[in-house]
Amino acid sequence: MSADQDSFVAWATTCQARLLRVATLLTGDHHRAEDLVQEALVKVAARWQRLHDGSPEAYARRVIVRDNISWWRRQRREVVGPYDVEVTAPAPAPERHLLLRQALGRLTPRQRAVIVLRYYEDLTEAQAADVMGVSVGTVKSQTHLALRRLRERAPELAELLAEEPPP
Amino acid sequence: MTETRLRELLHDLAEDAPPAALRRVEAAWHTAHRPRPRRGLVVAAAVGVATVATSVVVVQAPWRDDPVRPPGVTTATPTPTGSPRPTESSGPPDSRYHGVPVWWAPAARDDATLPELETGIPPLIDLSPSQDVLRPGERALAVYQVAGADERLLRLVVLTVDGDTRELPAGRIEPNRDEAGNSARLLHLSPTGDFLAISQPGSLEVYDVASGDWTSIDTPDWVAEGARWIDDHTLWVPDSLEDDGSGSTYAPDGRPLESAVRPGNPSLAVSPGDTSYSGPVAGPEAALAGSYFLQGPVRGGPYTNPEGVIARSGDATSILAVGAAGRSKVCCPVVGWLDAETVGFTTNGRILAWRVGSDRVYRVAQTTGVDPRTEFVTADWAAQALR
Repeated sequence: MSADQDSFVAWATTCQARLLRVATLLTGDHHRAEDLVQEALVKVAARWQRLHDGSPEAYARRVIVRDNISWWRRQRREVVGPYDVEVTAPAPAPERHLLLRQALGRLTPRQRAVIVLRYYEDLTEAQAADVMGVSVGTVKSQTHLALRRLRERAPELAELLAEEPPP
Repeated sequence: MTETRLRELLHDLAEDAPPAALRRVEAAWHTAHRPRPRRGLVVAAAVGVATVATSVVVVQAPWRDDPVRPPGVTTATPTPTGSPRPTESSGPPDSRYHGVPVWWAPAARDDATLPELETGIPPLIDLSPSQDVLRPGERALAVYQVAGADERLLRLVVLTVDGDTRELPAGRIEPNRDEAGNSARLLHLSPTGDFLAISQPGSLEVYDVASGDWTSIDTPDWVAEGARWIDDHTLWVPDSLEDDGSGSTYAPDGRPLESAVRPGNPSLAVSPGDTSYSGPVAGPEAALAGSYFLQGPVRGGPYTNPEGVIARSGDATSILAVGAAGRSKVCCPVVGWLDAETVGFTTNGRILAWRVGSDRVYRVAQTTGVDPRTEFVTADWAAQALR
């Protein structure tokens, strides 16, 4: 293996599990998440000489987020999860995973992306906007819409999903 | 603190993901650095109809290049050209998926030797430059968009119902991009092929195939790619790509309509986890067919989560599993119903036909005249004109 290939393999081996977790949260589909990660790794590999001294993981994350949104748009498909959440009693902790997963499935890809980037990846609004290739205003509005839709779809999680006033 | 708890829950969810397969790292490197021309050949061959964009098919998941032939495939033996006889028998399904019979499609390497099926589609569809220009009065069966590697539109080629290919001058058309600059859907051919709507970032350009006239319909920015034909005289444009619940309707000449009709959203999903990527397309007597990622597990083949063409005709639903060797992701968008029993779909630059509820797969047509190293093709079909 060349030195470039060695360094790429070392980097990818280290970060691919993180990327897969992000992609799985974005898609709700482990198999498609694997495809997204693999495509991102290929794109990083193709640009490795330019990326390896910079932030290849940030680039890979950007590819995953944008490819996922673009894919759904090209297919003209609205993401609608399979379940209606009708339970209103407070959910015990193990059920919260399922409820949140189902509620995330009700979001559009862009709304889902802002939730994952802001609350899982802990990116700022500006950083999330850069990853998604949209304005900060769009990130704000999509975050608001996404949290509202999550509250509607999973009222048992409302306490987790309240929007806090800006500092 | 609520945000903290949401973060914790998201992290818990993320930890549920199975561990990544480490062997794919080196596969990614080799995919990225394999000789480009040969890769391009595969890519272009994989380009299909409907809305498959090049970035989707450029990377073929290398771990799916499984040479194992699905069991039960019986379609590799060539037979004389001509429509299959109605008495041809079908083998039993290879498996069942939530009770729905599944047949596995042949491996891609066998596509060229499948028996031919005569349909209204010519066996060769020439997309090369220097076509005769489409004349008013000719009727469209399909329209192909040929784009360069930089996604610049090179030409629009119309396949007419007479089997000819014509160029539609498209000087007014720009590449369509979404708000983030990504390539977006361009073509929307009406169900009978009388009108072609082309998405632009802030408008729909509608071509009247009969008269040769263009009409421009202004739309809010970025939403035109979500346009749909409700019927041949009603074009629906969503208010937002994020929400299909509201929108505006227009006549093909651009007149706003007061119609409250909204596009339907039928589903053929067999399992809640099945996700559509093409169709569903309506056929005779309320039949539907569409292309899906199947959640699985689907038995009887080399993979448990293949893609599948799902068809419903009457009370019967059946699946052709197509995620086998040599086919890329989003491999097989549905073209439409070729007759009451047969669904056409594209794969690797070919149109194949599946006799629903059976193991019978046929070769219908192949596209030519595209430089696989530099040109990429997408298309849209007039579903009602096919049959």
